[in-house]
Amino acid sequence: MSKAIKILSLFFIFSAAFNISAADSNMDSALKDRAKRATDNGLRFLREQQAKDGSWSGSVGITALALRAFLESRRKYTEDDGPFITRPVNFLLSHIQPDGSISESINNRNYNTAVAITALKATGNPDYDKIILNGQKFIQGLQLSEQKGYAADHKFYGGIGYGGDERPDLSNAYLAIEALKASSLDSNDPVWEKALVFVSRSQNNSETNDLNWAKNDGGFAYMPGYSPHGDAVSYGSMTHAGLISLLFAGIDKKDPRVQASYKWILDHYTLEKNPGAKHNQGLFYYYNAFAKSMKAYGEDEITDSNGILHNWRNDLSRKLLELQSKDGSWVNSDSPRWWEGNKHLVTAWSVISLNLVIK
Amino acid sequence: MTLHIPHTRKTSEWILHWFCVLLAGIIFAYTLSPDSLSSTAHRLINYALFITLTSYLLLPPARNLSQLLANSLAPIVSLFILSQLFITQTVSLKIFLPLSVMTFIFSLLLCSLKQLNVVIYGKSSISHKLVYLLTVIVILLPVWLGPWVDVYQPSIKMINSIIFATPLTHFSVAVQYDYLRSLWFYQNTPFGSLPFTYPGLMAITFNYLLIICCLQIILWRVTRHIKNSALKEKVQT
Repeated sequence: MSKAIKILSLFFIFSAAFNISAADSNMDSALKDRAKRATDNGLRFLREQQAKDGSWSGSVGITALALRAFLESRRKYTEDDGPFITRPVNFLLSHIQPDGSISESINNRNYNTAVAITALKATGNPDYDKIILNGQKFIQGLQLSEQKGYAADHKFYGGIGYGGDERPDLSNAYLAIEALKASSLDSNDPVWEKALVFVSRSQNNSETNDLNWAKNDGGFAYMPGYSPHGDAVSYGSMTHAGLISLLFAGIDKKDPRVQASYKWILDHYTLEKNPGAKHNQGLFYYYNAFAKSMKAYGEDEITDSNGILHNWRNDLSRKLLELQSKDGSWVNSDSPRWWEGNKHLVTAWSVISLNLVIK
Repeated sequence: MTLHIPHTRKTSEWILHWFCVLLAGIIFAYTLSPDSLSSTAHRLINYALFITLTSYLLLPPARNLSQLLANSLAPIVSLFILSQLFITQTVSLKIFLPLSVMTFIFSLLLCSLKQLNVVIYGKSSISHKLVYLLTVIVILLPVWLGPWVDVYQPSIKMINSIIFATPLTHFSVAVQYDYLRSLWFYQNTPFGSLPFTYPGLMAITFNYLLIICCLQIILWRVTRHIKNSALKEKVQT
């Protein structure tokens, strides 16, 4: 009898512990368990798809994202876990260029370098510190500023682009900012202030945007005065990218730019589509940016502009579980734009998103 | 091998030539958006293409190998002068050398086509302008095929083929410039947001040389055939 009581007591203690853990994020515990299994299935898919050289799709960018998905997962994989971690690391290291960038081609040099140094930092291995520092310098060197002939009043000032041309966009700027933050760039470095000029000028918020094009919904466009979804409309993926950029650059939550973008998110709260985007383009990029920005903002439960209460972790988990294929992968079946027809990339993004949800 | 080419040129032909030059100028200048301080590489590519097309129209067809080489080298001289006059930043040899080589190969191809045209159709034929217009159309493949790619979402292989076919890619690869993600192309074509791979410089050069060799062989055989026919006719008479 006393043995049964002991077992029951232990059961209640464990249950309580799990409930407290679930209550940390007010996330539905059953849903959290399913999300955990979904990350395992996603990682299994990626492991099965890994090339002999350790890469995914032969791309530095996709390999870095998939590697990050493993390293930040609940399994807490490290380089000690075997070649499925060390080989992608070596693949990244084999693409280091003399200028400090990490890329397999002239395409996407900022994107590739940014996600590569974020992944290398996630390994926690101090051997890569020098490489990360060089990558940081390369990204800083891409920023459009006085050194490149851009005056402070130029609409592209402070921006960062793909790295193959002098034209910036918020998507690349956000990835660069994320990488600089992850690699612990000094918060007093002038790169942050300049980046904030560009980020602020990409926002549809005439109160804080000094350029004439800006409207007043608080959301973000792809670059000052331009959106691929028509005119300079705000849309979900860029608004979350903008919010992350502001928060990672050290802007306070009470700042009018943060508040305006958060209001846009409340006004357009949905996970059924990338709000404001055409034909479901960039849907999984949206989910990824959504998870990062919501986590950075730090409120699990939010009430949208229609007065409906949401737990973003529950909502995102449900949606990603619904969209996961039987083989554990994810893909955007509506639109291949921005590489979302690539299962390796989209699965890596989705696992990273779920890793943030269940943390 | 010497070709017999008359030296007269009608005023209407000159006007048509200058119209074609203007067309090329407008098209290539348009891709340099005034919103961005476009990079040196972007400007140089536009200049190189514009000069090569202009040279094709304005220089007389080559009669022999040395003239063919001289005609093909001429755009490089103009490119050097233009880059010194209009580009304020220093143009590094790392950019200028491969661009010059690509300009030379591309000019060689066009000049060979012009030679062949002269031999087959004669100098005053409209075929030169057709070659010119076709070249402009091929250069602008990503622009006019953009809406089709956007709607029908073709396979990556098809997208890569389109990108491989246009000389814009060849010049951009030579200077390591990601032109499909430059401001104008990104805003006006869907390619920048799709997965694609630029071809390697070696593959591009090999293809050009292969086509040029084929054209020169055809030219040699056609010229020999014409000469033999003329000789036979002379003997018969």
